[in-house]
Amino acid sequence: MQRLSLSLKRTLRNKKNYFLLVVLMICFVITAVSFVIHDNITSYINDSFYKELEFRIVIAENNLDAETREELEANEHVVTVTNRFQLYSYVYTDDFKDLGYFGNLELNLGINGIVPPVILGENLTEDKTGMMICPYYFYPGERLTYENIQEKGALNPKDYLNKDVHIYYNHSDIDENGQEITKRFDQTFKIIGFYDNTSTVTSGGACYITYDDKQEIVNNLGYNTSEIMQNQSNWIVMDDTNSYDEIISILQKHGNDGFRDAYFNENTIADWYLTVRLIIIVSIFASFMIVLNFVYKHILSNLKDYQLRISLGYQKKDIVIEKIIELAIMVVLAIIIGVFLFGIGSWVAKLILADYYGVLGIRLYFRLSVLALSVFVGIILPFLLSMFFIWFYFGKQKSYRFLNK
Amino acid sequence: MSLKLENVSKAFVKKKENIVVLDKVSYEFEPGKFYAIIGHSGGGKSTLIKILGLLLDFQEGKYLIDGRGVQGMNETELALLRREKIGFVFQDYFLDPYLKAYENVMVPMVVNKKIQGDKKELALSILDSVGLLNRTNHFPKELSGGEQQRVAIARAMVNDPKYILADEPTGNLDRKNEKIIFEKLKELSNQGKGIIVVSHSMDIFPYADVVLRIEDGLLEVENAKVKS
Repeated sequence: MQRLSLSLKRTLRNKKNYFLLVVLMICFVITAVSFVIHDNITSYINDSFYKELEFRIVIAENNLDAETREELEANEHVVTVTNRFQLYSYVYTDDFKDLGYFGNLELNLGINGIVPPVILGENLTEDKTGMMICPYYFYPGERLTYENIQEKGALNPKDYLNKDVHIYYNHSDIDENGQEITKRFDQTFKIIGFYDNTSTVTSGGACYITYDDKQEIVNNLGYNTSEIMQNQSNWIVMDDTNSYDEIISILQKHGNDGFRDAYFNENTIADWYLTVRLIIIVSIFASFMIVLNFVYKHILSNLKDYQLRISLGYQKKDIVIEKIIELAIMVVLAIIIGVFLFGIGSWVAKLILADYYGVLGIRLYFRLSVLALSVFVGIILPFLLSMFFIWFYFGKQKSYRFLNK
Repeated sequence: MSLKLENVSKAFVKKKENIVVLDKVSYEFEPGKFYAIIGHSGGGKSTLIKILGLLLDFQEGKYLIDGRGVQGMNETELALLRREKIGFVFQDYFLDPYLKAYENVMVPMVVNKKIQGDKKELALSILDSVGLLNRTNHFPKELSGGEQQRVAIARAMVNDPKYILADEPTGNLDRKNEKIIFEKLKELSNQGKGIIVVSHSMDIFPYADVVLRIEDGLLEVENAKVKS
């Protein structure tokens, strides 16, 4: 206790320690802010790209007959999205082959943001003709994320991966007698993955639902739709086995204007990632250098202090313990101040961004794990390294002889 | 308990040149006496007192404390000797600037588990014995040079060592404070402690029981009083 008490007094009364703390806090704040930004970018990409992508396992039906449409709209089964978000669905089936399409029926309902999408479901009813309608709205300014969908009680389309689903649609055509006929298609599909076209669709992303597997498509249609898609519009194959990074990489490779929030474009985010990572590296390095410099200057080089302590009967381990206690006190102080700064900073930033959400479209997420990571990397790690150096420095020499200089 | 040097030699290598600082020095120090070690700068005074204080190694000879050679001792044994048998006072005081006077005196107690009771009380009583009871809560920078050195002496006394070794303890002090320090050391000598003081000052002579001179690494007794 006496050792701790004296170490505490010595540490708290030493103004050099406060200087170190201030500089370290600056580095910590930079590190923490960088981590937060990094985390938020990741969250944005998660929400805006990946999870919207999941959402886009939606069949958007545009050639519903008027009666069906009215019925849907009457039941409020219409999704309103922002005018920068449009849904497309491409359904491939050999039925369209007969209709003269190459197998691609574009069901584009993304007209000025009014889209009645259909989330595929298993519990299909006869009267709804195999469609399960999204019972919710999205409004302009609202982010179309999976969380939002979940909050509104929608289904998770991802649950239907590799399951048979029914798709109902009507198609009008002219028969041999010149009469308009409406053909109702009721198909069973299996969702095996998602295709994302990000470069050729003029606005909005797209998703592709196929059934069974590609080979079956080839067999049914007589040609490889995947190949055609690749040739025509740089379709990108994505499915649930793609890792997050792979998806981001694919999106970044092909461009993904339709897949992101209007306020974040891909290049900007890529630049941000790079910048933020650089800042993190620099601030961590700076923290290390500051702490190590301090340790070297004020602890390791303080031979006078060692000579005194040795003369007072200290052993090498006693000095090491004392120095480590002093550093530990600094760590605790730094963590307390760091967490306080982080809390205040995040609270203020959150308030500001909440006020300007309508303008900036940015929300900040602050997670404890990010705080913990920042504290560890920005504060604890440099000190641990310093303690290691102290241990190494003293371990190398015998106390009786290291004063022989 | 005596401190006995037998043909102790110490040399430093400087620019590939071997500089002999102590050349086969032999002498036995006894408790209850005031030793003054004088000599020119670079003559080996500080080297000798650091060897005596176990702060410096030597190449040849033997150094016996209470009949035991220190060269075969391990780190723990050496630390115990420094802690319990020897108190060291430096010219520059070496007080911790961030600790108050009484806290500086408590520093050696951190590693001395033999000290029982209220350690702060003990520190205060020792400070009282050096005439600094009214300065216990002052930081070193708030004390004069003489007061700082008295705090350093108090710190050296706190473990109740048999010997107090002082390397130029009055080197930074005026004559008035020098006198106070020498008187205090003399008082300790009279209480049975062996006092070994390295000094440039001739004013130490009246206090010293034995004056030793070091010239060119050789130690000789310049003057010795017969102690009653």
